[in-house]
Amino acid sequence: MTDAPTVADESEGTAGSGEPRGAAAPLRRGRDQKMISGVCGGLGRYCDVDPVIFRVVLSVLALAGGLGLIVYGFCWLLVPLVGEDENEGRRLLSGRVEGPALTAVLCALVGCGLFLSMLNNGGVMWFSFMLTLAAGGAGYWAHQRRYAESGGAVDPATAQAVADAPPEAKAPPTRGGPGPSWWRDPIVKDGTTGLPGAAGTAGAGYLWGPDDGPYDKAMTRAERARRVRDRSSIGGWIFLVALATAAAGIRLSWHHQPLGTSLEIGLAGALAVFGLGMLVSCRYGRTGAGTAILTVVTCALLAAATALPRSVTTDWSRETWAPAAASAVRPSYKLGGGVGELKLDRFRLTDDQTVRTRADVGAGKLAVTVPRDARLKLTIRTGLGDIRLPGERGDDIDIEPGRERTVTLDPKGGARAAHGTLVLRLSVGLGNVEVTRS
Amino acid sequence: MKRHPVEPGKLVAGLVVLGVATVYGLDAAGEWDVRSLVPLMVLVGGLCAAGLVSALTYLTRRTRARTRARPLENGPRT
Repeated sequence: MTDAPTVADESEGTAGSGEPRGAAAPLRRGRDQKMISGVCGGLGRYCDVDPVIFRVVLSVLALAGGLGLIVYGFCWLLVPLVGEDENEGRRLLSGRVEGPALTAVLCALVGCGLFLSMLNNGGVMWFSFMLTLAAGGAGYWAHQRRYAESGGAVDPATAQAVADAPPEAKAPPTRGGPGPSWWRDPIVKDGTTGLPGAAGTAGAGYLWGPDDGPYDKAMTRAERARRVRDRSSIGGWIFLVALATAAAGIRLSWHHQPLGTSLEIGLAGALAVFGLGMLVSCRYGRTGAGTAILTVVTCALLAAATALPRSVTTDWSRETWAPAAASAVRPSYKLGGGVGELKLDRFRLTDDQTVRTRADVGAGKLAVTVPRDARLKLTIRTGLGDIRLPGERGDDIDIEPGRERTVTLDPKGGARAAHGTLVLRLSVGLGNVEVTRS
Repeated sequence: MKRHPVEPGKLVAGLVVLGVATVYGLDAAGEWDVRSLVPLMVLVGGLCAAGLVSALTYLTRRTRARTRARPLENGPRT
């Protein structure tokens, strides 16, 4: 532990511990590329990425929101050093408290504090999460790439079969196994890096830069001659035509049809286009699951449009009816969509007078104001929505389909104190009915 | 667009979808009043049936291709 082992020792150590050649080495903190505790070096080795990338990312994450410190602290605690089978956390919990473990705990603690202090700063949090995701994704990708390149991605049975089979003639490898990299290999005597054999080729093994392997005209030709899957899908065109049909149908019927019917016309047109497209694709071109899913979605929208009450119109308006005398109350008030306000508190009713009226709103809200001292006989229907009567709490919203209520409400002093009777039939297709006393 | 062997599954799916579209169109025109969810069920069922037809077509074509290919393979040996 006192003298740092060389890179060769370390790779021997991991390969010799029962791991098959080519399988990914487990995540270990590095001893040789270590700045603080070797977490970044270990991550870099695990993912086959320059550890500097992890150092930079974790530093930025530590400054912006403390997430980097949390990750670093936990990695330090949970990931054992190369050649050891116990991590710092376990050692800490079993009573052998040492400096590194305490530092790791402190690091995570400070990170948590910073993280909590940044909780209400959405921008910083988003940045942190995005950067974490990006770094994690890049690391995972690099790890998988190396794993696949070194041939570790085959299952043991296949590996056995391949080992038993006689060797077959192989084309020269395009990239010689895992590419040499300067952060893994020792610096050779003349100052260049990489494997001694590859030292002559400039830039071999860098993450960015020229290709490692030979890339000549034969390879180019082979790449160009590769068969590309025939894409003759007409799904995209069908979708565009269906969209245009729906838009045209809705636009043409918008002004002289109720909302539900207008949507139904447009969507039925789109559905017909999908059907025609499928018929065409029976002989020419291909349609796939995407068209089927879009068809089902269109049909679901159509069903919803059909369920809309016919009284809902395409225009949204606000209407206030305030008759000034009992004789001016019309037998019925209608509004397609919007907010209808019926004010029946502008006149006084005599004791035995009865006023009848009805109000219909297709979609939106119907607000009725009634005099304080009138007796109410209400018949209220809502297709989907809430009913609120005088004396009910304003925050109690209870939406139910197909509701019908018939109530008789006396004013505060009881039936004796009532002056006149209001018989109201109120209906709203989609929305709420609100009855309030003045 | 490329011509390819007939796919009966697509034919079934297209006919079902066109039928459902016609029903909704008649409903929109006021000619026929339908319960809103019934055609949706019909459509989903029809698409499932179309998938079944496609699978059957694929299976029969594969078996036919194999039986056609086998005499050629075995021909010289016997």
